[in-house]
Amino acid sequence: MRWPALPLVLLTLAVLIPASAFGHAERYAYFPDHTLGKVPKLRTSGPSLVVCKSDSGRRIAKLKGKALKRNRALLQRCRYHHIQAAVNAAHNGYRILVLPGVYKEEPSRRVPNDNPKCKGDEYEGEEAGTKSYKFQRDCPNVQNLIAIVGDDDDDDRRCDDKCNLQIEGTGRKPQDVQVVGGGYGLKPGAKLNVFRADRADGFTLHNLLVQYSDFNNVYVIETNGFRLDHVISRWSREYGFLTFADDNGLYDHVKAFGSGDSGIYPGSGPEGHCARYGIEIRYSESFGNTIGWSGTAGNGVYTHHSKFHHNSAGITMDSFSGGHPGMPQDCSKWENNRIYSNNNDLFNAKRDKYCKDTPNEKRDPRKVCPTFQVPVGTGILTGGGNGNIFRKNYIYDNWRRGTMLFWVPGTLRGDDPTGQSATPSFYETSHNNQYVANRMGFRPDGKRDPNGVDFWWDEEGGGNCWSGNVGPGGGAFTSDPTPLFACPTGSPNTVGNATKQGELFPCATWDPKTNTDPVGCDWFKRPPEPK
Amino acid sequence: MRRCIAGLIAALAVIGCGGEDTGNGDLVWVGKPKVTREATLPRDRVLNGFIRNDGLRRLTLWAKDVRAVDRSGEPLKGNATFIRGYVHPLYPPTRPPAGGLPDSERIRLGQVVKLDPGKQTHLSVAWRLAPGAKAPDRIDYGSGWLPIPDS
Repeated sequence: MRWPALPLVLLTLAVLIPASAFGHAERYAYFPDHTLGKVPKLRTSGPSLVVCKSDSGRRIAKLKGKALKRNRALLQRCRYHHIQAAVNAAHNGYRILVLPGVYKEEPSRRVPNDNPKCKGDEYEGEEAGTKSYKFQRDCPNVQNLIAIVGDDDDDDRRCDDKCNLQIEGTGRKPQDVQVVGGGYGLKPGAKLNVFRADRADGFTLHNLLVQYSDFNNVYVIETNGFRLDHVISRWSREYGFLTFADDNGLYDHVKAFGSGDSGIYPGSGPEGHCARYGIEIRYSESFGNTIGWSGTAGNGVYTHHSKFHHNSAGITMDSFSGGHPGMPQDCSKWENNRIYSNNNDLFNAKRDKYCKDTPNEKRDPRKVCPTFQVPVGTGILTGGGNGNIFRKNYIYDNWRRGTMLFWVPGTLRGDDPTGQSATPSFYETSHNNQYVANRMGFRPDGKRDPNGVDFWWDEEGGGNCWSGNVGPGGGAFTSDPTPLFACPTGSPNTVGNATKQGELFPCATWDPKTNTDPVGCDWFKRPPEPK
Repeated sequence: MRRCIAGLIAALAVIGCGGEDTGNGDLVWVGKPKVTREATLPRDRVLNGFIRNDGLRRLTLWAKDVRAVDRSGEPLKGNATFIRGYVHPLYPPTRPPAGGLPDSERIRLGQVVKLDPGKQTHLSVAWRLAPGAKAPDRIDYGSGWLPIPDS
């Protein structure tokens, strides 16, 4: 159904909505030139610095075999007791070997958040609430427990020092080296980020566990080449792993749980425009978060052989907000993943009350408070994405919908002040998405475990297609609408079903403090398990 | 009221300003709004339509002031937004910038709209009926009201 007087509406909206100039509380960020970088390899040789704690020897004594021998030898070389101190001493290409222990980074925690040395116009970002790159370079531990900030004061936005650093836990498993943030909100020592890699090309984080950030446990921004490898993130107020305006990235065997927003967030992903994938996520797992994987402008990401389960929503990618270069979202691929049981009831009345009434600094950080609204019980939500491919995934036991695809008017996001996004147009999103050969509503062992409905679409957009998908026993899947359009041609370019779209609008008024259950929106009530 | 005055001047035969069909104030519906109900929310209704400023001055409308009201003028529990789409705040809702959200973000989120004469925008209003209660009478937006069509 077409809305009345559409041309006038478009004109009106264009007049009413000014250029939006705000990001996710971040300075203007720019994509690196992907041709100048590459995914770093794990190194086992080369210059290194060793970090240990007073009880590392005792912990090492519990190791066995090669790990015991290696760590005993490294303990003799230990000269640092804080990871940040080793980072400060490191040169390009160094490895920082972190021996078993718990690292609280007390000197960083003591850096005040209102450090008078870090005030002035040069330290402010382009818009309110953001800080400049120079701020991070000159005052690395105001916001960050451990900062790797690699670009000097030239204007090329490329790494000059602290490049190709590899920070590596030397235990047998990630849990042997724990890096612990100071907690949430105004709690003394709380920092936005536990790790921040900023223009730190070639950054590698390997074999350790990170927890208790006020925003991101691991944050990588404007970095050309990164590797997050066998890292566990648990309990962060917002994000576990957040990468932003990066390229040549790899998440390998990462695990994320307990994030108020997303476990894994490759937002403002590489602009490969379906010709290449600039970030790969493989053999990873994200659960117990509000969202398992999300990305506003989550472009050019190839995610495969990973599991997203027991979140409120498994995966979301979207074009909801301005301030994210690379809009609209496009060209990510999902293959051979398991997306299941995303029914985590984080929006119930009891949790709402706890999160609303408890100051952040007094919260139990292990109790997740949602900071993003999602339709509980959804496997994959694509809100305003183009050219994404979902192939050969198992999608089951998501009690609302296996997948959701809907349109977001481009004009609502506003202009990108960095000039790295398409000029917004009203019907620019929700085109050419392909759902191919997915297994819907049953587990890998073949046991039936249905979604509420397998495929839900608001019926907007052209070229969207569904082919080769199967339900339990190789039978039919369920969908709304029925039938769907087959690949490769897909749907004709339609403006969508106004009734379906209208159901989404009240959900945008959600607010964890003032409107936890918007009238007219059923997203926040976990649906009953489908029979 | 300026819409009313303008109408008087133009037509010289206006009997009153607004009424059961058109409401009262500067806003009018463009086309017929549609009221829908989700099966999972039997007491909730969502109205979607387009409004136009037929007055002579710019209107600044706040979504929080737009409510479905009953015959006695009591607002029903509900919410409203001026945008036609699902969007998300740029700032995490628990982490607004000092001084609150800037106007541009409030407009983007549909919390406020500045509507010049002759311009139109989308309006979505949701309300919840109390058990046994009758349907609301109209949409009140502070400086006027709009009728709710039969659905």
